[in-house]
Amino acid sequence: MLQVRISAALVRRIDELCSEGIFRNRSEAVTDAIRMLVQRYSRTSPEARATALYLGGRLSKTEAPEELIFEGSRKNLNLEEELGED
Amino acid sequence: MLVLGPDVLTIHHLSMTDDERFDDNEGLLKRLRGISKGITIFGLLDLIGIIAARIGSKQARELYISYLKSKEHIVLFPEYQDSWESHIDTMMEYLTRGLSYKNALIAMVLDSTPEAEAYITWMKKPLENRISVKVLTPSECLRTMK
Repeated sequence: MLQVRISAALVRRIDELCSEGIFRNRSEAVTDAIRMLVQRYSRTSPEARATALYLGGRLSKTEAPEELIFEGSRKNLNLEEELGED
Repeated sequence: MLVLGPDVLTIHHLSMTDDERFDDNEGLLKRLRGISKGITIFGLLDLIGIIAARIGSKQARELYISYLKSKEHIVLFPEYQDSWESHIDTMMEYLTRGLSYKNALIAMVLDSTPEAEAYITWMKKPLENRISVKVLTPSECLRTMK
């Protein structure tokens, strides 16, 4: 059993979908929506999940990316094409 | 807030000490340590692509998360666009100023970030006078801070 608060406007939209025959009842509509939500996040990469957390303001701020230096990376570099100067 | 271009961060992360821009590049990043600075999501993704190609996908993925979790960096996202039609409309406005698609994406984010004071990049010419915020190279930025 799950109890949730949904706005009256959204409930009206769900009822419309039910009367169109898309869902049998409110419960089926909500279950379908939650199934899609769970599927969406189970398919995504850790980076995509971190982005969702970031956008929701729920990602802990713990790192200093500038400390990530990739030493020995300059061999065979031709970055001018990518980073050319003015 | 200063917004850093992916070129500035690439020179740093790849430790391009042979590059004549390296000293000023590092000088600026050192000066900005402890200060909040921005990077657009498109700039960050561009950086991640370069790191993946030059170093490896694992390190690139780690770097992406690290920027999202950074205390000092704010990853700037554009306003949500719900259709290709609105994206094309928005992009056309920038592309017709003569910007590349990549720069147009960056310009779009800068325009929706009122806190952005200046965009820092070594590739200043293609952007100068085409975007709403001031464009400075790291060397110029350092001089203004002295």
